[in-house]
Amino acid sequence: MTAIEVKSLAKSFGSTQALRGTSFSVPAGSVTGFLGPNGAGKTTTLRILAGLARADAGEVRVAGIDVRQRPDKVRHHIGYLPQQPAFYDWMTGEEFLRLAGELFGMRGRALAQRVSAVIEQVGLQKAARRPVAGYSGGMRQRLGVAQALINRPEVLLLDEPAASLDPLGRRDLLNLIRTLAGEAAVMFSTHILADADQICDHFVMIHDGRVVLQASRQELSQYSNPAIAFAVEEQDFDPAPLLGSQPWAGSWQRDGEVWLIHPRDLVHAQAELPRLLLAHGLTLRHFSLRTPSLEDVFFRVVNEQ
Amino acid sequence: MVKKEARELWRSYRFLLVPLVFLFPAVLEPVTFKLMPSLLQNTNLPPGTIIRIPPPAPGDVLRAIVDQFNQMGILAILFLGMGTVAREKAGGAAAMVLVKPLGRGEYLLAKLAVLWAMAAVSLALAMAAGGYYTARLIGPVHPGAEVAGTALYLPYLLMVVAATVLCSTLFRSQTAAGGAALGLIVLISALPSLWQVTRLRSPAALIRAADTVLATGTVTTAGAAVPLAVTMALTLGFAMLAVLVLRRQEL
Repeated sequence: MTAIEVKSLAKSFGSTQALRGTSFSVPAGSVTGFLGPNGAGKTTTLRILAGLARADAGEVRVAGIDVRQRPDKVRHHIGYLPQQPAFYDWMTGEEFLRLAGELFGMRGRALAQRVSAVIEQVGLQKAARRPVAGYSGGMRQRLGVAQALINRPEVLLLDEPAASLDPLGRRDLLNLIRTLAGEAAVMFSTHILADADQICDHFVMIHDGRVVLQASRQELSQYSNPAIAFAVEEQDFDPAPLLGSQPWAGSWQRDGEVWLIHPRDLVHAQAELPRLLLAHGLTLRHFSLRTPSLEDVFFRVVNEQ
Repeated sequence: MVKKEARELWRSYRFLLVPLVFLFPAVLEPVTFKLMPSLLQNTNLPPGTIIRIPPPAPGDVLRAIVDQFNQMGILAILFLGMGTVAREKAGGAAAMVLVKPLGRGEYLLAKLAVLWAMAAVSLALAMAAGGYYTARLIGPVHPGAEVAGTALYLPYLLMVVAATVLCSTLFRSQTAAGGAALGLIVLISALPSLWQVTRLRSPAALIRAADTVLATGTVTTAGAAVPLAVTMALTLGFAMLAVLVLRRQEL
């Protein structure tokens, strides 16, 4: 079953095209990492999914509901945390959560129980009765997650939820998101690929307003063939004349001190590359296999585009 | 949301601002009228100067109070209302609540309702205080005329609130919203001098009708029906326009 279905989504701000025919889907109950550099179109997409911005073209369905036709109906089924959550700072955290619950029609005992539950879930028990004005960045982020969870959403949209957290807060938040898998489809945007690598079972990669890759963790393994990392003593080394004519070479890129090759044929590449370098009078300083991280996959996919 | 708006005014002590601004001239004007002859006698006038000041009528004092509301009172309402939507849009709080099942109309009407209630209570309190001090210091006040005059002035204040909320919806900056609202109110007030046809029909004519009732002490709605209808239509129009604008805005 699909929790989010986006087809050919387009959005412009003046002459700037933020989204250029973006299409992807998010399976129900999955934790999907929405990955891309700053300015790729992640926030715009999430705001359209939440009904806060309007698409110029395309189809958007969240929890089976057409967002463009029925944004009012979609709101009952989603939880949303913006990149910079804002609150009524004169309220206490608990009061804000009560307000959020009331907007979903919760009242009395059920509301009180739900507010207590989400406060505990995000670990805000000690600060819940303090005014939000005195909250740290991390506490505001936790409160933001709590308000997004108040209605037990089918779809949870989190925009850079870990961006302002310290390492401990980041770990706790990622653990919390992991526990939500199965209860809700979680789609969270981040430019920190290591975060997504830890907890996501699906990935949507966006670059320059276009989805460049959508894959499950298993499907991603086809992009995860080891790369060959090598370095030579010669500072002015340019691999293009050497590798361009080799059928096993595939693509290559510089990564700091070393060159990375994503070979078409790993076995041949492993055997041929050292020989080729030595034959051209180059001194091999480093040669190893590297299992690509999510970040490597992202750069590779973007380069291939 | 109405509860939230009311609580916000309470916690930020803004609920005191408008009533105090309205009460200030309501108490000060009767005292000033009463003390004016003594004040003039104690100034350094050349010997032999004779100033004849007719004893003030209670109606004149009440009218002077309403004139003060038209300046300080309206500025207080603008100050209070200019950020009500603009501040929440710019800060992001509007997006946080409007992404939940809360209609944009509902959101705006909650703000309007609380500001309207505050304007009405402030006016009622101030006119009651003004009437009391005028009766004590100047002379008897006709309660029916005071209530009628207040009732005629109230729709004008409600229109000012609606215009302020509309401007706050149109802009993301509080200052821009306040400036636009002030401009709109000034334009509405100046309309009769700019366009003669509106002289007897504009909201300004409603203030004149309220002044007449208060000054003469006679309960009459003569000349008030058309400006009252126009003022109410403008109030409704501003409120509806604000809802339409907010519904079209991206947050």
